[in-house]
Amino acid sequence: MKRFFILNIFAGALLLTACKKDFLDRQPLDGYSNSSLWTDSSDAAAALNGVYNGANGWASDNASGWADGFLMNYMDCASDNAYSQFYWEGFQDFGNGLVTPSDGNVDDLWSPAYTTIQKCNFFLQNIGITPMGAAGKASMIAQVRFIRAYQYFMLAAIVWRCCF
Amino acid sequence: MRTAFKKQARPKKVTHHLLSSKSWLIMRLTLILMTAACLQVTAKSVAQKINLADKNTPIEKVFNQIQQQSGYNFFYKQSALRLAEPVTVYLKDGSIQTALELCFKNQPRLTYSLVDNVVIIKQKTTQPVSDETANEQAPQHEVHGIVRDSAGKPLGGVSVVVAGTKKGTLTNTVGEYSVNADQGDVLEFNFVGYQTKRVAVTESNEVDVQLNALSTQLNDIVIVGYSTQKKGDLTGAVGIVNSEQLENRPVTNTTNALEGTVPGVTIVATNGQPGYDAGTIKVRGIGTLNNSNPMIVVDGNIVSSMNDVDPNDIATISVLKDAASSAIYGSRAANGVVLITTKKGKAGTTQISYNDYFGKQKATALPDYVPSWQAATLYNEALENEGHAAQYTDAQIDSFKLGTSPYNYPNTDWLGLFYSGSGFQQDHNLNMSGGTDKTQYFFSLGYFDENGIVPKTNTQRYTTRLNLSSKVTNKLTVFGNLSYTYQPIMQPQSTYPGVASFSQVIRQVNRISNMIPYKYANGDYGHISDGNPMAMLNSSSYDNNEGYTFVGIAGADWEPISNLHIRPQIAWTQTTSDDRNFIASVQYYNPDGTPAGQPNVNYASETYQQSTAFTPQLLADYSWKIGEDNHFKVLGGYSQEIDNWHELYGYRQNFLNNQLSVINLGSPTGQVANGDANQLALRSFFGRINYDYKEKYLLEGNLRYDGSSRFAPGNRYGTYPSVSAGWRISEEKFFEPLKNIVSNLKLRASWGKLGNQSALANYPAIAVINSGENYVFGGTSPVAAPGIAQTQGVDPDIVWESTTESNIGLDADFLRNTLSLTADYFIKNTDHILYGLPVAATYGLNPPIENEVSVRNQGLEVVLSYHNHVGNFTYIITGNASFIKNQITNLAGQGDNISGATIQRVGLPIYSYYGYVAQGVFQSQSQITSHASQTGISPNTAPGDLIYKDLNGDGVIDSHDKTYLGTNFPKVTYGLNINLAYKGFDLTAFLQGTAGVKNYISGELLGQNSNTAGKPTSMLLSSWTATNPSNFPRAWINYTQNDPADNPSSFWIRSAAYLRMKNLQLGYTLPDKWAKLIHFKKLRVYYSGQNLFTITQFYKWADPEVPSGTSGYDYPQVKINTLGLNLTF
Repeated sequence: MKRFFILNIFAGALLLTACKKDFLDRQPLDGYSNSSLWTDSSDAAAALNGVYNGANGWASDNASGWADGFLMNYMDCASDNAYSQFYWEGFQDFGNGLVTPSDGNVDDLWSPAYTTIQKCNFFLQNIGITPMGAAGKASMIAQVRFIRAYQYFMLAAIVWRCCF
Repeated sequence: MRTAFKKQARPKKVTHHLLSSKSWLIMRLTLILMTAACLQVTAKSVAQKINLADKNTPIEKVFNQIQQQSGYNFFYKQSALRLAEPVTVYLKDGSIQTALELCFKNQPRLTYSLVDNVVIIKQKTTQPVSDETANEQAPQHEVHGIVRDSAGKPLGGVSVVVAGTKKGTLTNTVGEYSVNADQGDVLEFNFVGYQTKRVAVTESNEVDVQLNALSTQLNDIVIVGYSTQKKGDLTGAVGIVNSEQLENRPVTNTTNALEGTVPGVTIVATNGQPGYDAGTIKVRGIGTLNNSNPMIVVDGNIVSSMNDVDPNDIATISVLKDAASSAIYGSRAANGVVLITTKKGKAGTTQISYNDYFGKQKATALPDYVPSWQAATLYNEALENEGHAAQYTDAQIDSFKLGTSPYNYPNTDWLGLFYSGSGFQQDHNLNMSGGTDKTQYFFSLGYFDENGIVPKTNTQRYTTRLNLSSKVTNKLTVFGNLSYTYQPIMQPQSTYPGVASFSQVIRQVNRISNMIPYKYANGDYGHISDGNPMAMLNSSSYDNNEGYTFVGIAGADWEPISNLHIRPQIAWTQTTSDDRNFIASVQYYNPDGTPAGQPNVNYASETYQQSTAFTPQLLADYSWKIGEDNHFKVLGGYSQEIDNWHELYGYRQNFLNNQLSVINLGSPTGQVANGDANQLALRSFFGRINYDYKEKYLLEGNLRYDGSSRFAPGNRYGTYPSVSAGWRISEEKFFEPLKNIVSNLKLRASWGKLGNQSALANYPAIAVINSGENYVFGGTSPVAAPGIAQTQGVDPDIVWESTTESNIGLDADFLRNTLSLTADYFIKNTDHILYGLPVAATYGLNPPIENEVSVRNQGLEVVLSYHNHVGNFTYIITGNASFIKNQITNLAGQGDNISGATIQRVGLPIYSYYGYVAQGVFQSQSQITSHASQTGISPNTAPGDLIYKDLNGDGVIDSHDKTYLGTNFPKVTYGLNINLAYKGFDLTAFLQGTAGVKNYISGELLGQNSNTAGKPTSMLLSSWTATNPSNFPRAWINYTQNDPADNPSSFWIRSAAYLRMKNLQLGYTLPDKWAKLIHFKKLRVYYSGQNLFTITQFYKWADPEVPSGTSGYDYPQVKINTLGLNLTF
């Protein structure tokens, strides 16, 4: 009797846990799946904020959204508006015409643009199904298209041959 | 009958082949469920206090009483007992011999003999086994002698029989025997566990004999996956570490204790900081680009780290190295499996032991920064080299040298100020074990305290463990293992804004120049723009991390029909980590007393994490045999695991002062609250079949079917088979003539497939829209707007990584078991490695994790061990070595992946260095012009700069002249263990080393020229100058052409091979009679030292195992000297 009692406890514990068919189905708890979003205008607004965020996630520490204020100032050193006096900031070569593809700051002019473009495309792909007012939706779409155009503008101006 | 003798301690379990005929009733032979019980190499003597008070009691009842009190087992035929008379005996605190003598005093028809811890009851034959006192016949020829073992120790209880007759005797406690035999008779010497010896009687009546033990370890029980096996039956490659190799070494955690113990297992410990110094373990090379840590199993429960286990609690560790032995663990075993078994109680023996040690740590190597006057001289040189004017006049350099003006021209010993911690370390462990036949227990309490060589670094570890097992009925055993560990860790923090870690403080100590005073005359801290590391250390900043781990395992072993075991088990692990952080604000001042800049904002944060794992498991195993020679064993099992993790984070800043740091006291403005959670589920089915024929031909097959929640449905499961075989050549008939030289020879081979998915994020196959992509819309009232977006590329079709491994091995014992050899050769291919190789920027998302890389490891492992004695002096020498070749075999068609000084390229090892080949230093301008152009590296190339070899002969030094320079993962690792014992003294030395490994250092650790941030090491004193040319590059400050961080080359990346005296232990055990006087069973005092010295060609002031390319953010490695005590009650 004693042994059946003990064994029943173990068997019960095992069976309770073993029987779930979808035991291995686990969804992330800290991130949304695309199919659960785009249900109303606040979802769209959050995605729009993400577009404004641009490449803040992974570009240089100084990236500040879809238009990098730091680069906006320092790229004056690539023109004759300004001269960068500290070589370690990496902009002297732009001004002197000695810049090469492996210069650190070149990547900051190139990669974050594509990250932002990717976000714009993602937004434009999904916004259509969102149930919200037409005027609001049109405004959001216009903002995103502007931001995307700005990225391509910067790429064309600095990197050239990127888009044709 | 004078066969009584003192029981001799024997380390192994004896099986009585002589007595295996039917109807022997075996009383309470404890089975090998308590697997660890059989691995205790130190023998515990069986209790000898027997109390009897019986009047006319049936002898069987008396036997029961003796058996319960002494642990001795009784063998007899039931029919023999019917011839017994009832027994009357009174005995108080008697020995087993006395008890038996009294019982058999009046037994005319029964007699007994005592062999090891077994009492054999036999009918008295009409012609009793004769010995010298009972002999009635006149001795025709009395042959006597001594029987010893191969180590020269006398063997008692050896059966000496005149072949073909029933005449014989047993040797006494000192191995002496005396028997009547005629010349020409053959004496046969038999003793369990030893080879039978037959000696013919010659004219001499003295025959001394030496018996050779059967391979001493073949019957040892080894823990393997989900069960146990005899060592002789192993077909896989398993490395075994027993508790002696772990005991009494002042290692700070279990991971580091494994270093050098098993060939093929490499532990790399890069620093000695209390609480953060656990090494990383690699079994048989680096298998993958991800987490290549082995799987850790403690008492049958899979855990993430072995460092919660007190090394004193460990009975044995098995490392499953090849696919065959670890295939039963399938999907997480691709990098090997480490099985840890904690100590369990044994029936009948109660033991209490207390172990402690006290010791002091010191750094193994610290950078030897030169005094400030030499730093000033070098700084002048470097300024001139870079086209600027020298800064310091000769008079100023003299001021530095003479120390006449200590606040303006100081020579601050920053390292001396910083490394002023006590370094005091102590460890205490008390454990008790014991039990009856029905219930056994093991209980331990441990306290470990380590203070680092830097003040405010400290960790403690409080551990407790209770292992209980109870035989509820004849067929059912239940067990429970509970353990709890609490580990607080303390370290200082940096107050540099935005960079809070302790490693930043270490870097600042290595960075701040000797020309900066520690404090000014008015007591304000001297400082550079980054601050003052001593100010950071002395501030009230702290990082306190408290870790709590609870593990509970409960299970049963039910044997409904004989040889069928059903073993359910559940395990619950709960780990909590509470990290509290406070950064004080520090205001620096100029020498004139005015504030220098703003103080940093003080803040406090707390991160609370909890993870739980619940693992139920069900095993069933059945063994049977066909005939006598064919043995089968089959095992089947199911297990699943659900892991939950969550985290909560809070932050506030702007506290009123630096004294109190509870978060509520901070300002609500700028407060942050974060929280996160995830889950992981795993489900597996597995099975194994073992077959052996006469224990000569061995065959084993494993299969595991594993599913993980990390992959998309359809890709979740992987199947992992393995097969292995062994052939004990030494048991073959054709091998008989060689058996004297080679007593054991076994050949093994295995093949298997394993999986790995362990280091990924929990949902790598699911595209997730993240939060946190926020944006602040500006203007006069900025608004933080929360945003979402997808940032990580995802491939939903990813599957498990898989490793295919083949292994051939050889085990041999020579020279009468004094020499033993184990060798293994393996080839391990890991495919579908999950990795995010770089993608083009136009993709716009982080590279997705793909199955795209393959790696191969192949190598040879050897263990050679020799033991012998010269009189009372015994010695054991064991050497192990492993040679591993690691290479990437597939990079998904991508080209080389170059990052700084490392490269990933097909055909090269994983951690490969890539840089220029340096050929010395330019001595003149003409040399520069005649050499290939180095202007691409620097337009300022001048004499004193490194010469880089033009490998492709195009006249220009550029990235095409870079090449493979070596690997950071050692190609060869080896260890040497020496054990010497003489009377009560014992000496153990353990050396460990590596070869075929490279490393480099840079930045602050290498030495820099500056008068504020950077100080030169003595190596920079040989910098090239025009007046003092040398082969070391000229001094530099900003120039990059000679700097290892900008231009890695063979000048800086050098051999980091080393030989290290890892542990030296000298102990003395009090002789038994003294110990008894103070009522201890054993008292041993010892000295033990860890990391005592290192022989290496690497930079003298950096430990060869520092992280690759480190620039001085790391806490140094430490050496420890301790004195300790082992007490057994």
